[in-house]
Amino acid sequence: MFKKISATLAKFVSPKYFYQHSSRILFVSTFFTVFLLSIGLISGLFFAPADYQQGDAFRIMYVHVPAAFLSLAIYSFMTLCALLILVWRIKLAEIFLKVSVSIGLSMTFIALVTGSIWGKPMWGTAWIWDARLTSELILFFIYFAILAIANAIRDSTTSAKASSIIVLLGAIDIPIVHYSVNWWNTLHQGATIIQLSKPSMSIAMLYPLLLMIAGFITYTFSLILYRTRTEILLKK
Amino acid sequence: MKLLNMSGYALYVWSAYGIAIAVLAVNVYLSIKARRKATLSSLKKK
Repeated sequence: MFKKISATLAKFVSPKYFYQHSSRILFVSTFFTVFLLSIGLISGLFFAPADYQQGDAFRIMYVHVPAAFLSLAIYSFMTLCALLILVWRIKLAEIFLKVSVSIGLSMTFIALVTGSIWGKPMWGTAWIWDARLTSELILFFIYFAILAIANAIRDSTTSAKASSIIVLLGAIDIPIVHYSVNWWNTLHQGATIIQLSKPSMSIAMLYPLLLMIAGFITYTFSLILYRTRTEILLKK
Repeated sequence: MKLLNMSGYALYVWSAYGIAIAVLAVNVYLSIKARRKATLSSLKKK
């Protein structure tokens, strides 16, 4: 029984099986990415009402929040991959980890830059050593370190192991980024959507944001699938 | 015109969107470029 389960699992995580069965999923997720990002951008830029305090500057939120969310989500996914690499030596997890780093780095870059652009007119400064901003900057450097290590080591298995260790060490920053607004007095605002009571945002402003978050998720998912297929093709 | 002006925050809003879209587009471009390279090397091996 146990042998049968492990054989089935081994089949699902084999790069060959993944390559054969991922093209349809990639097609569907690419379609949803184009659809969700188009609708999200149009509704965020043209239909969402202006904020009574921030005016139209609040529209930066529609690219800043999804990018910041994905910067944490991708790292969490990489942490899971790192565990799968170190414990079970799963080849597919090695490829997932390798292709996710640069996507995570670019999401963190978007979050930092758009946050600075938004901060300039709202806070009067583009940068402050606030807990949320500083921990997000540290996350950017962690992504950069993983990318550097992954590219510096030629042997793919050694590179994946070294990257996994750095990913696990860097994972401590994820709860710090997320809870920094609760643990310290920060200039950055607290949670707006994920609250136990109810979101402190009008529905007209919230639905384009949810569409953009969904669009960024499908974008990342599609890109990971596409790059993983490329890596498998290279190793064939 | 009112939309382009973004109630006086045009520079901030459009530059934020421009940078975000450019980074997302570069990611897609690099992925397609790597795929073409992989396909070519795979064909050469065959």
